[in-house]
Amino acid sequence: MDFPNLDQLLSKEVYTCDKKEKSELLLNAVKEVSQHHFERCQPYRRFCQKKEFEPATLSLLKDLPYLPASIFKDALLLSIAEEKIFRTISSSATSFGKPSRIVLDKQTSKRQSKCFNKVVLERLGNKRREFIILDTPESIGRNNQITARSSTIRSLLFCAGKTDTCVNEIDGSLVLDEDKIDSLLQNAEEEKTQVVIFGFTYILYSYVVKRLLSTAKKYRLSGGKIIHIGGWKKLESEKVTPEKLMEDCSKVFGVNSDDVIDFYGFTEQSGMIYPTCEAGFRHSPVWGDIIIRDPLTLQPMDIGQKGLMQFITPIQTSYPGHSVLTEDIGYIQGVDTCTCGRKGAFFKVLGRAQHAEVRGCGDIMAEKFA
Amino acid sequence: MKDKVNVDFYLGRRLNEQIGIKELLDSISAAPSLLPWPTEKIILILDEFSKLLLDKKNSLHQRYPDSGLPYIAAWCRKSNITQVLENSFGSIQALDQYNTRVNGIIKSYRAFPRGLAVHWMAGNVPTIGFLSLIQGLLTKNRNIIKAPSSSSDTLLADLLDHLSTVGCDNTYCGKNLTQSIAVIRYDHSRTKVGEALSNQADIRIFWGSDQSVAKLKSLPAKLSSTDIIFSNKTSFMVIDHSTLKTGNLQKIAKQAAIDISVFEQKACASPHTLFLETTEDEDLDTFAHLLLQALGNTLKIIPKRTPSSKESSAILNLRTQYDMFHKAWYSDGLEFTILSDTDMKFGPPVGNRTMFIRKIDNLEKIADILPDNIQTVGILAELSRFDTLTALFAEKGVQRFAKIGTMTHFEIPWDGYFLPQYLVRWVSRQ
Repeated sequence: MDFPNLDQLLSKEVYTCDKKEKSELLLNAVKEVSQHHFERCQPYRRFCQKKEFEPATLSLLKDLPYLPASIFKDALLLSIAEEKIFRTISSSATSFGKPSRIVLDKQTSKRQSKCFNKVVLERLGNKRREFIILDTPESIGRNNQITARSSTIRSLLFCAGKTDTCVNEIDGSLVLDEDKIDSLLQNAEEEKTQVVIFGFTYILYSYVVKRLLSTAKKYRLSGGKIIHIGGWKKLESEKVTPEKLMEDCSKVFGVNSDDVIDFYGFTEQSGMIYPTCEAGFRHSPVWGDIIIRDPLTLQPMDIGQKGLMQFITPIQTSYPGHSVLTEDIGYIQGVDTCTCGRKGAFFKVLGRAQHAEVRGCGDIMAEKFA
Repeated sequence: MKDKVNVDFYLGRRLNEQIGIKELLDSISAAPSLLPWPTEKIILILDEFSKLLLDKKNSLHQRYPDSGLPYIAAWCRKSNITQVLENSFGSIQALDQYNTRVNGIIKSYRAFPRGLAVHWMAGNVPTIGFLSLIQGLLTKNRNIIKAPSSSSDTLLADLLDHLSTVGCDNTYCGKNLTQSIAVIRYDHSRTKVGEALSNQADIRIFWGSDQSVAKLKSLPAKLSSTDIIFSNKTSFMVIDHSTLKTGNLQKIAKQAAIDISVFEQKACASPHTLFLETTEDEDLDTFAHLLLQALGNTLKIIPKRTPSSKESSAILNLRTQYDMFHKAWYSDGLEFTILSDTDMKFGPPVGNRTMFIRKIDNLEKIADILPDNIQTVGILAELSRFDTLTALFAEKGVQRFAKIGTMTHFEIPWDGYFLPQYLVRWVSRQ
């Protein structure tokens, strides 16, 4: 299937287009992809018809109907023929909820990887690095049906020269291999290797950083990067703020606080990843936008106002995940004016409001830790 | 101190302190008894309190806009309280004096308070908890209310604070009436505190989920104590074919919208499903549109609170599913939602003014799927059907039938109990 407007959009640099340049390109690509889903996904078409929405008439992104992220737990929505399914991704299921399921064809999978990689390289630098993964060896194995957790890890490894894992699964529980991580970090320090330590936020802090702090052990990983993702909920209950995490990581690993990067993403729009920039914000790439909606009226809110976060991107063509309203609360700080120099809307995710279930991969993984 | 509990109200005063449970129990036990009080005096104080609550300038209205204060006020009016006592005991003087009854032999009877009533409250509707307490007062018991530890809502204590300011005369005043009351909170994991409280109770009243009530019920208790349980319940509405064809549907929709909007459907008497006796889609669509309009109008009198993001997600998910696969009508925002499918089931209860409307060719068929936890059925049916349906559903465990529009009105009996009857012991003399 051809998507010329989408292709044109993806040919742009991730964060260099300003609002004026981006608006039309993004709108045209979203229109094109919305029309595709409208024609090929019957439930999505009924949904649009109920809302009297016709993709061809879309002139403002705020008028694009959104699907709640949770709909992907209850309905398998396809915009491709079943035989075209290349991979199914499931989110982390919780004890209370069902996992989300999304399907990818080869084209979407390839496109998502391309977008993901561009964002990661833009933030980490275009250089292969050694990765220390705070997860099990199985998490980087290959398989057709994969969890969001291993999908996230594996998608990062495209820029890894060498990869080591340092968590083992013993009798269903996850156990950190302390000797191994110590030896990997010591080697990196001695050989001045610019490593990347990757882990789910809670695991990184509670099982690695906290332990190292308690033993007063410190490393000097000059040029190293710490990437963490998912699951602030458990740390919030321990009163650990993002600032505290950054400060403690700098202290024990000897990296700049700018190099402690928090990645945000969600299964329903896999391929989209939002790392924190040097100024601590996340940015919409040229192929995406964000709208904050009032939690009661659902109307779009102004810059600075906190509300439910709607993410728009045309990069998925195998399922109608191009406009998703999440349970997350956040706000837009501004557009095109972040001090880091990147263009696009820059925003903060404040997490899920009260009563939301523990859902992030890291939280689920934490429950398995011994 | 390990046995300390947070105290919101104690011995006639609003408080925000920690007190040891033993000390608290001793003080409540030593507080002046309400037994010598003429019931009429208690009723008069509550009537005064009702007027105080109805005053829109009262600060409680600003602090608790969605807590049904007008409803509490209406419940505490002299006429209602008198009716509650008369329905329960036949007379408002049952606790004041021996009342003679001639039944072959001449005998007289008097009701006495049981002693200490402990009310374990659920977090969902504090209003009902207050009405539970009022019945404890009317029956001259000492009362301790265990409020949910997680809630920051101090409505109960603030209501008591207002009650304590009402005065008829020096002896019979709100201050003295509330001397033997405590509102406390502690984490439910503190078993020792729970045991100390439970061991002193002469009557234990549990409001809450099946799970939490089962846990509380296992606390040690006096051999002579009685348990009253108000656990998980759900409710629904039915409208029969005749009413659907000849009734004033606009008016019915308006009344239904009230039941759906009160307490954001968190009360056990709140409906989540409406069964319409019809085979025609048009009937359902017509009523759904009327209800949609009525729910919109009801927002003006019962303003909407913002749902949590989890609640929003659940509502948006259902709306999307029903738009894709069934039928849905809803407000632009998350104010209210009407959903319809061809399933023959109840709910699920979503809350936040989310209502399922389902067609059924014969309302009697509902009896086949009735779960055993139905509290109220809001019913509109012609007289003969009304008799048949209320008999059939009651046999299956339904505890209350109410007119649509009055489903959430707390009345006696509630959940099958004339609560005041359980709050007294009877003494006879010949």
